[in-house]
Order: sequence, then structure tokens, then C-alpha cells
Amino acid sequence: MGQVDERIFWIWLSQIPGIGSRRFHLLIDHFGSASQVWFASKNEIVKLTSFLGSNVVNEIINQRNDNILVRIKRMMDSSEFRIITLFDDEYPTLLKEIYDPPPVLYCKGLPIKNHQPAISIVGSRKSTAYGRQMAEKFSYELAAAGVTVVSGLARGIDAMAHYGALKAGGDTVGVLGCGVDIIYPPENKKLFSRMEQEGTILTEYPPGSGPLAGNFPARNRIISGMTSGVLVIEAGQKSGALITVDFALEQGREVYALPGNINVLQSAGTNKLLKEGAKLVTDVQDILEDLGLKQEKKKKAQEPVQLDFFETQVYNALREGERHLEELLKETKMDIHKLNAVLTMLEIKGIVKQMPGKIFIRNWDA
Amino acid sequence: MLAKVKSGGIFGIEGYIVDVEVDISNGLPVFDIVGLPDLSVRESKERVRAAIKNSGFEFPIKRITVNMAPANTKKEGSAFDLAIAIGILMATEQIPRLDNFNPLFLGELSLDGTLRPVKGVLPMLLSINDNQRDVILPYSNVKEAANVSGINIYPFHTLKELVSCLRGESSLTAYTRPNNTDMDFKISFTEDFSDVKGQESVKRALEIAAAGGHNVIMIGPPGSGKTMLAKRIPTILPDLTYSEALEITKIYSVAGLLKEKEGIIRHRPFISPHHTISSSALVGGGRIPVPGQISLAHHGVLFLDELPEFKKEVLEVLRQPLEDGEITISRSYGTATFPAKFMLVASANPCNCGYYGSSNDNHVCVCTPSQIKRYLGKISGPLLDRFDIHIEVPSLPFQKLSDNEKGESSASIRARVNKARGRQVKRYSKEGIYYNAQLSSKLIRKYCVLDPSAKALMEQAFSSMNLSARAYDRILKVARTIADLEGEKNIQTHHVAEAIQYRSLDRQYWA
Repeated sequence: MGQVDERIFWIWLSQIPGIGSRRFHLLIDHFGSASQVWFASKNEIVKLTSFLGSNVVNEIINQRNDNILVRIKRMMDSSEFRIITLFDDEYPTLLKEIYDPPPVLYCKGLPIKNHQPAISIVGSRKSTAYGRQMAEKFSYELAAAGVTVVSGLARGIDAMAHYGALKAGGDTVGVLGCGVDIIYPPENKKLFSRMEQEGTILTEYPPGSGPLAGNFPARNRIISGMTSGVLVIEAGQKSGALITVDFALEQGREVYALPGNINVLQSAGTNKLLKEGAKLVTDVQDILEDLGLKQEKKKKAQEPVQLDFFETQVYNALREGERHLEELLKETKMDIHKLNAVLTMLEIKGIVKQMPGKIFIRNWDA
Repeated sequence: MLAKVKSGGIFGIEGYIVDVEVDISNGLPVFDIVGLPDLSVRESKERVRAAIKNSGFEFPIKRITVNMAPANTKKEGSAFDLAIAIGILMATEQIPRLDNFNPLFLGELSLDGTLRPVKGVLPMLLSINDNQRDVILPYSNVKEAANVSGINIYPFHTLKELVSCLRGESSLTAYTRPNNTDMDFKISFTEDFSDVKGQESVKRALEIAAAGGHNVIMIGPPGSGKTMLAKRIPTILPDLTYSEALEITKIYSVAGLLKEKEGIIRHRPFISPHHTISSSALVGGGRIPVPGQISLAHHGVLFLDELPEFKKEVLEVLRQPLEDGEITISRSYGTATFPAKFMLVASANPCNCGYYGSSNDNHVCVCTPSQIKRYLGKISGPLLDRFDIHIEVPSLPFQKLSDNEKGESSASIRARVNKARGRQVKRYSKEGIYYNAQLSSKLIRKYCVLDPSAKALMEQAFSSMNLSARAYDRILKVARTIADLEGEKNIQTHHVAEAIQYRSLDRQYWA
């Protein structure tokens, strides 16, 4: 039996409803290969009822249908996405080592670079302005140093982590909790299309699978599994990011956490991780040294931004962190119309950012 | 015996002359009114009967037919009482026929013969034709009627007084108008912007909005003072002109909201309907169309507090009047058009809990990102498009509130607004518009020309700040107003730069 044939049965078995990666591997252990599940006698499969339950056994028997193989063949030839199985070279090396690696991955975008170290960046969907900035900053710096940044393509921290890596022109992988053909959350549409061009989108769920709540914790095991460490930017007490951390610990990955303001809900989780022994990160070098890498010298050839007198005054007023418009007004003693105009100029020059509620903050990369 | 007197009816905000004919003949005692009277007119029979009797006159026990011409227009209201009573008295020869004196009779009768005020006197007198120079009306309506020049007004308190004049027992003298025809519109307000502590950025934005007539949406957490700020907007709006005041008074007169001692409305209205309002209460409606809240806000401010709480269909009906400055209501009784040129001011919380983007440490937003998205998403794009200026109102910490320094007074802000508005009126004198908010996209191309550096800034802003394309024209209009406030002929770079700050909702973080 040729390799190609084995591949199609492998994909067939992985798609049967009720068979997750654990059961998949147990079945492979039992029968020897996926094709043998297909060719096994009905009796042999029925014998497994006590272990798989009658529903799954019936599914396996029903799915032994040539039409389904035709459908899978068509999927394998699809130009929309590619299928990576556990045997393929592109399959992330680190992911193969975990307890229950997904047998099949569906993938869009650039090839995954397995020779390159990878770090996952995770955090709450509900993030603070600080958290989003830091996610972008660390991701940018990691990607610039040649690290693949892996995250979950969710709202908040995840999205910013991908944007940071894309900004650096580095490698980034987004792991989904649904099929590759489904954009969830919908507001990340723009990010999805960029990721398809400049990054990689990955999922263990076959096309058409919806974003079920139960998929996301399982997705997190891939995020931590394909990287050598997880950086938690912000996490509340019960954040999904902490599930990723649990997987990381199970899989023997490093856990990094960013310290946060103790009064802010979104920092409760990260501060707790630090207390429990996660590696405290204040600089990207803290992660890079574990990977044996050095930070890219920030020798940006770009010209320094020219600021006039008023712009400098406002920029200096932001040195201690975020400020509300009214606070800036008091501090700089400018007229409101002047200040508004100056802030627009600073925003356009890209060195100051505006947050909801007329809060201004210095841009991290300025 | 037949008698004919004149009275006036009103439809929408237009008045028309009604000829009241009374015929009295022998037969069974019946009192009939024909000429499409509605219930309130038919009820006048009882008032007229009692008022005539209680004024000491004789009510004929005969067959009485009252016709109101034009007979094909539906009549409503109580203003015909007086004309019917006079017609009956004339037909029974209790009053002599009046030659060369054919006044308009307006007034509701109470059972004891007192004349009570009626609605719509001002629009009625404004739209009657030139050969109608004499009007008899209740004393309570005299101030309102005095706004119309070129007519003789004869006010009376009771039917008895009037009859004795008509009989020639006492002399008939016209009301002499007070001498101050040049009315003083610089009246004082109870609220003032100097009461507002801090919030300089909001005050500035409201000043621009007032100067250019721009619609405004204020977004901020509960307790940040959005309502307080909105209430003070009328204090900085440009001074009311006499013709504007007359237009407002007409609407209030029709709605029956004009106070007796007022005569004319001297301040720009501030209308704040509750969010449970129905669409016909908002834009006007009813079997016989009456003006709604948006018409009562004509030349003033319509404040919609908690905009996302309003029913969606109610908000959607606002779109057409916002565009046209008037509202046309069609009912079975006919079609009426009411003016509705108002500045729309709305307030909204940023999210369900109200604290998204709030810098206040005591309150943290507990909404999920999709909840935040959904909350302001309730307001439709086309309606949101009508707001030129978006203001984020911060909640200020306590020490700022207890700060003793006083803010700038409304009067000095209004002085600047008046100047800026004056420049706009002058510039647009040939365009048929009055202020920047009314600029159509064609006129924007004509009057909001950017120099190359301002244009470059605009382009940079759009590429680097995630502004949506629909913001472009709005920014130009607001920049035009900022330039007008500064007295600059051309829009300059810093005007555009400031205008960009008033487009919060176009930023990607809200979407």
C-alpha cells in the first residue's frame, strides 16, 4: 500500500465525528494504520463498542463509504488550503512531541518554518491599552529576532500579537478553533486576509467546522505545543490564556509573564503566574536568551521624527504614561484648540496613540 | 333671518378664513352645525347656548342652522365659538348688522360668557389676506396677535363687553401695541457654561458645533455631565432673529404651548424627549396633524439623551427631517408641513455598563468586546453619518469638581459664536443656506478648499489613523467652522488637524 493511500485514510479517520486526537491515536495503535480501520471487518469494529460507545462505532461503519473518500480527495487537491498530516515535513516538530498531537492540520498561507524557534503570545480578549501595546511590542521584537510568533487570532492581545509580527515582516502562525474557511471573530477579517498572505493560519478542524466553545481549549494545546514557550501578556483570573499555560506546563514548555498593575483586573492572572514561578519578562531579551538568540540591533535607518516646540511639550507631558486630554490641557497650559491640533500631528507622525475615551499614550516603537 | 360673520381655522401651521353663516327659521327647535365640523366644533353648541343665556341675551327657540364655509375642509377646535354666538345674536337682531366693519371673530366661550384663549392665532393672522384688517379676539391672545403688523386688534374679556361695543353702547378702540417693536432678545438664561468645571475639550467642541450648526453626539460614562452640558447649548447658540422667533412662535401657538404673557418666544428651544417616545410624537402626527417634538425644537436644540435606548424605528424617521429641515405629515384629513430645522444633540454611553474607555479607577468596564460593538451598533450608519462632531466626555475626578475656578461664561462664548455665524451668513448669502452644517457636497468643494499642505495632512491622517472615508466631508465642514471662529478666510492645516479630533467614532477602536 502506497504512502498516498495511507494519507487519505489517515485524513478520513481524523474527520469522523466523535474521534478526537486521543481516540485517533488509540485506534492507530490498535489497528496498526488508518487504512486498516477502513478495511477491518465490521465485527472487529463492533468489538470496540465498550470503549468507543455505540454512536462512534456506528459513525465509523457508516463513514466507510467511497463517496466520503472522493470528498476527501477533492479536499486534498483544494487550492484554498493544504492538509498537513503528522508524517509531513511541514508538521511542526515540537507539536509532534505532545501527548495528543492533532493527526491532521489544515493550513493556509506561508509554509511553517520548523527550523526556526517559536514563541506563543497569549492574553485576554478583553485587554487594556497597555496590554495591546505590549503584545504588539514583544511580538514585533521577537519576530524581528527571527522567532515565529504563534497566537490564536482572537480579539485583543492575540490580534495585536499577530499585527506586531506582521509589522516586523516576521513569521507568525494563527491557530483557529474552527475551520480554515471560517472567519471568527468577524471583526478580524482584515487580519485574516493579511495572515493568509504574510503569515500562516492553522487548525485541526476540517473546513466548515464552526467556532464551538469547546474547540478553543483544545486549540490552546496546539498554540503552546508548537512553541518552546508561552508569553502571557495579560490575563484575568479566569482567562482562557491560563488554559494555554496549563497545557504549556503539561507539555514542558517555558512560561513567561509580563508584570502588571495590581489594581487592574487584566493583570491578576499574570501576577499570579509570576508568584507561582513563571519567568518575569520586562524585555524581549529575557526570552531571547533562553532561545540562544540576540536581539536585533535597533538600527532603524529612518530619520528621527522632527517635532516643533508645542509637539515636544505635549510629547514630554506623556513621558509617565497615559494621559487624558483634560490632564494634558492642565499640564501643558495650551489652548484646547491648539492642543487638539498638536495631538493630531503627533498621531499622524506615529509617535502618539489615541485610546478610547480621549486617552493619549506614547507609541512604544517611537 | 340670515347672518354672516368671519372666523379663522388652522391646518398645519397655515390659517384660512372661515365664513360662518347662521340661519334662523321657524320650526322645531334644532341647533345644527354643517361644514365638516369635528367633535370639538359640534360641542360648541352647548357652550354657545349657555354663554348667550348667561350673558343676559336671548337664545332663540327656533331652528338654527350654522354653516361653515368652505364646506369641504374639516374644521376643528374651539375658536369658532365666538363667531357662532355673534352670528346667532345678529340673526336674531340682538346686534345690529355691521356695515363697513367685518372683523374676524376668534375665541372660545366659557359657559358664563368669558372669552378664553385659542390656539394658532399668530399663524392664522399671518396667513390671512390683506383685506382682512380687523380682528376681535380674547384678551389672552392679544400679545401674540400684536406681533402681526398692519391689523387692528380688538381684544375683549367677555361676550357681554363685546356685544355692548357692537351695539354702540361703548366705543370700540383698537389695541395699541407697546412701543418697543425692536424686541430685546438678549435675555438671560438660568444655566451658564461658567457652572461647568473643567471639560474644556467638550466646551470647545460645543462652541464649534454652535457656531456651525453641527449635529453633535456626546459619548461618556454615566455621571460625566453630558445632560448638564447639553442643557447649556442654547445659551451659546447665536442670538435669535425676529423672523426666527416668529417662526418658533407660530409652531408653539399651533401646539397650544404659547404662554399668555409671552407673546413671542424669545429663546431658542431646548427639547429633550424621553427615550420611550413614539415616532409620531417625535416628528408630529395625529388624525389632524400636530407638530411633534422636532418641530418644537425648530431653530433650537433637540437633545436625545441615551440615544441607543430610543426605538430604532423612531430614530430612523429623524433622517428625512434632518436632511430637509422640515417634516411633511400626511393623514386622511390632509397633508401638513411643519418646519423642523434643529441642531441634533445626542448623548450615549460608550457601552452597556457605561465605562468603556473610562479612566476612572473606581469603575471598570465589564462588557465583552462584542457587547461594546453591539451597543453603539444599534445606531444605524446613516443616522450616525448625520453627526458632524463626536465628543468624548470624560468623568472628572472629585478634586476637579470642587475646584473653585470658574469657567468661561456663556455670554463670551456666544459672542464668538455670533461672529462666526455672521461670517457664514454673509458668505452663503447667495446659496440659500445659513451655516456650515448645511453645506452640500457640491458646496463643500466650493467653499472648503484646502491648500496643498492641509490636503497632505488629510491624506496622512486617513492612511495612518484608520479614519473611515465618510469622515472626509464632515472634517472639512468642521474645519470650515473652526476657521470661521478664528476669522480666517481659508482653511489652514491646524484647522483640519483640530477637526480630525472630533471624529472619535470613526476610529477603528470603536468599530
